[in-house]
Parts: sequence; structure tokens; C-alpha cells
Amino acid sequence: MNQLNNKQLLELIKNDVEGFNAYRSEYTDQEIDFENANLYKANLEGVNLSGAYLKGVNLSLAYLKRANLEEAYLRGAYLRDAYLRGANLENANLEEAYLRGTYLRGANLKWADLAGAYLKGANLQEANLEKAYLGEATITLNKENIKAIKTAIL
Amino acid sequence: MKQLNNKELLELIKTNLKEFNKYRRQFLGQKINFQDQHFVGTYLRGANIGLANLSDADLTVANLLGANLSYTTLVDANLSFANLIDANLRYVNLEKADLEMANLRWANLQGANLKGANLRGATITLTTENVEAIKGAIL
Repeated sequence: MNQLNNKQLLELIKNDVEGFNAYRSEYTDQEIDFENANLYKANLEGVNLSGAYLKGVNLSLAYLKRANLEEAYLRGAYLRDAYLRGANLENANLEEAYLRGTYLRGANLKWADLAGAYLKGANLQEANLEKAYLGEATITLNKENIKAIKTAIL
Repeated sequence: MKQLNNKELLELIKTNLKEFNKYRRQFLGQKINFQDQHFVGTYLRGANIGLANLSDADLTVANLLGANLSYTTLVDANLSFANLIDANLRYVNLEKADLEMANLRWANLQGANLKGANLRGATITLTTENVEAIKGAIL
């Protein structure tokens, strides 16, 4: 497979997640930069976006079940009502991210930075927030979310 | 402006919020008593009701965005579904108040008394002061 630029990779991820993941396996050192990209309602189940630069990206209503977003930079990203069940967001930067209604059940948010993030109506049931930073984040108080944030840093 | 009684002030806050806030600036020391009053769905954005007594008041779905409620007594008040975004709730007494589904984004709860208050489904911003304040609440 030929090496692709970010624009080409954005097209690839929208149309062929498996192909995108295969590409990443081949070009392991290539940095992915999708800053401010529009991935609204994209079907990205199981996508490998680990370490990607996703500042301000629009992932609202995207389907990201079991996606790998470990160490991804998602500062200011829009993830409204996105589906992230079981996704890996370990050590991801989600500062000021818009996570209203985001489904994060069972997601791994260990060491993630959620400073100032907006999580109204987000589902954090069974999510791992161990040592995640939630300073000035806004969340909805319910039993499941409170249980999830107990191990976080406030 | 002449001094008004509680009944007149109640009418004023519901009909002319700007004038109400102006009045409060003029009569700084006046104790306002709106206990047991009805404010369901009332537009109180930016209202200055600091230090007032609103115990048992019904503020369901009221819009209190940016309102000043510091040192206000709201014991047993109903604030369910209220918009309290950016409200000043410093040292407010919300003991046994109902704040279910209320939006408290960026509201300041420093020193607030939330003992026995219902905060189920409410949205709050996790500052050190707010986390401390909600410890006695029902979550």
C-alpha cells in the first residue's frame, strides 16, 4: 500500500475502517492529523486512532464502539451523543471536549485528561476513570456516574 | 424609589426584573421574604435575590441563569429542573431542597449547605468547592 497523506486518510477512514486499520499497522510511525475534521455520524467501530491528533474534530453521533483512542489528542472535540462503549481512551486528552449525552459505558478513561469537559447526560457506567483528571468538568449526578468518578482526580 | 413590602416586591420581581434588581441596589439592607411563594417556570435570569428567604418556595423549571442567590435561604425549596447555570450559590442554605435534574453548570456552591438536598440527575461542575458542598446531598 502506498503512503497516504492526512486528506487521503480521512477519506479512507470514512469509507473503510478495516483498510484504515491495516494502513496504520503498516505505517506505524506515521502521525495522523485530523484537526477539525468532520466525522459526524461516521461508523468507526473498532477504529485505531491511537495517538492521533484530533483537536476540535467533530465526532458527534459517531459510532466508536471498542475504538482505540489511546493517547489521542481530542481537546475541544465534539462527541455529542457519540457511542463509545468499551472504547479505549487511556491517557487521551479530552480537555474542554463536548461530551453531552456521550455513551461511555465500559470505556477505559484511565489517566485521561477531562479538565473542563462537558459531560451532561453522558453515561459513565462501568467506565474506568482511575486517575483521570476531572477538574472543572461538568457531569450529571447519578449513581453510576458517581461510582465511576470515585477513582478520578477532581 | 420608595421602599416596598414583600408583596409589592413579589409583584415587581415577576413583572420587572430590571427594576427589582435596581431596587435591591438601593435598599441593600432590606430583608426579603418570599417564603412559600410560587415561581414555577419564572424568568429570573440575573436576579439578585441574595440574602432573601425563599424557604418552601416552588422554583421548578425557573430560569435562574447567572442569578445571585448567595446567603439565600432555600430550605425545602423546589428547584427541580431549574436552570442555575453560572448562578452564585455561595453560602446558600439548600437543606432538604429538591434540585433533581437542575442544571448547575458553572454555579458556585462554595460553603453551601446541601444537607439532605436531592441532587439526583442534576448537572454540576466539579470544582473543589462544589465537590465539598455536595457531600451531604442525596445523589
